[in-house]
Amino acid sequence: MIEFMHAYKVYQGAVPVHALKNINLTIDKGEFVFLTGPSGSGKTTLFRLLSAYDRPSSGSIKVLNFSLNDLNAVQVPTFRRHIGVIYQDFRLLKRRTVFENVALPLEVRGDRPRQIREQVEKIIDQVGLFHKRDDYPDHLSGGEQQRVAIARALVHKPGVLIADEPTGNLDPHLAKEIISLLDKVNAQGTTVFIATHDHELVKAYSRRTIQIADGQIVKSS
Amino acid sequence: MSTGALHNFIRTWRQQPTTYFATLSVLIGSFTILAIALLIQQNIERALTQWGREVKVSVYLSESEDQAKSAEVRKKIDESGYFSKVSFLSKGEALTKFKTRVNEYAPGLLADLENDNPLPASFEMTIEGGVKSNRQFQKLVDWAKNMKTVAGVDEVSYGQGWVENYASVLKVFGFTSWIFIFVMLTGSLFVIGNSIRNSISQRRDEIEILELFGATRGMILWPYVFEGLVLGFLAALLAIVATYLLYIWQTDLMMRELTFWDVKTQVEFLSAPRMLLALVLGTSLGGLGSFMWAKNVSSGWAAAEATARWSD
Repeated sequence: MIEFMHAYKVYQGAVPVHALKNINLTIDKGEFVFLTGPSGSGKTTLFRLLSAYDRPSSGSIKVLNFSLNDLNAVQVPTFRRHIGVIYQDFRLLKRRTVFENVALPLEVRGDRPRQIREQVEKIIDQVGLFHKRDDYPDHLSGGEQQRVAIARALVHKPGVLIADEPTGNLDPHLAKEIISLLDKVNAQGTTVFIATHDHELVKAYSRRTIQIADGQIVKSS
Repeated sequence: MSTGALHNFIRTWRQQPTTYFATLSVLIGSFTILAIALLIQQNIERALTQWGREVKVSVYLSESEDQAKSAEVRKKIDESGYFSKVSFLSKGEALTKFKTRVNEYAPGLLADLENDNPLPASFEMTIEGGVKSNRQFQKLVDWAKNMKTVAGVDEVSYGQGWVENYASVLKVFGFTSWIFIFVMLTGSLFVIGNSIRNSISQRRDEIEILELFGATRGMILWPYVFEGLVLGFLAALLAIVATYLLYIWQTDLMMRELTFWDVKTQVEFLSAPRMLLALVLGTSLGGLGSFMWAKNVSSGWAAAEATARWSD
């Protein structure tokens, strides 16, 4: 499902930054995995590689049946339609409403408008934002924007869900609700991989946890 | 896909009204100049065509009147399919015509012609549809050259000097008007391109997000091309309206000031095919300009490339 083999990521510059060093990791289909580590440890870089947001400097990465090293310009969009990603900075389209933001993965996939409306309204309702479906992201709080990002990542029922700090901007009660929602998604067969530094949350859900520090995996339970 | 693009276009228009209004105004200005150029071209072409219709060709036969050879020449003329109103003028008829013309001015000249008629028999004809282009003029020159080699033909005349000058005017006018149209179109292409480039830079984040959720290059590119097509079409349409208003204003003014000149019957507004041409040109130009500037908008790795740039 997800496989990293000797993956490295180096950002070139006056002083090259070794963001990831020799990452070896396997996550099976249907797993729910937490990725923890301090700020700057490489969590976000690892997720960027995983979502084909960026390419590894060396080594190989496989997600679903895609070898990310070999993806060409035509295959990249196809791969991205099979995964769901929640970005730390939400990455919402400011010129689109909540409904339109959430509908994006379905529109890109070419679903019919009626189908899109049904699915989008259902997921917006699940994240508690139905009453704000016509609002623009700038009119939402950080937590609400986070929930829109989550709804967008889930609406097309992806095979793998990757979430970078999905509860970072939420109060503990809402954070639990969101994790419960992701838990439900996982129960339906979606592989869930969450980066977080919320240790309480990790403890509350006794799931597989991978710890990363200084660009290397230091612990995998 | 087009509904989405239209929706996107309306949204962009609402959010950046000043940018769009400025772009549309500049384009309307450019296209109006272009439409005026087409109007002038159309009317000059009309006048030239009128003159071209007046070109008369004469094929003079040799001294000895040979009916068989004359019939052969007539056959050659008819076979060319190039002429209308072909008429035969015998030696006698030529003399009568000549006498009629000259009698008023120099009656003394005619006395010597009573016994010795030097005028040859000839065929006189006009060119079917007239001479409208340099190519047609060249065709006439070639035909005349060939005709001179036919037995029984002494000379072929088509008012060489006048027609040659006329052909030069056609050539220069055609060339100049196309250069002018080309310059105007290129300018418009840059105006549209600049507007789209501006639009792209304002929506760079949006493009990245679309990429990250699996939008293909075509999906990302199409709204920009659509935007250009609509801009081009609207600008061309409004330019035609502006040109029409200018035409009405100017012709009314001339009718009042120059009462002896019936300007409205001599200067016509753009014909339907020319208006269609202006609309097609404007729309295509909009689409092309957008495509040229937006074609590299997405490589599938825009976000990654941006990251690489930031880290450099």
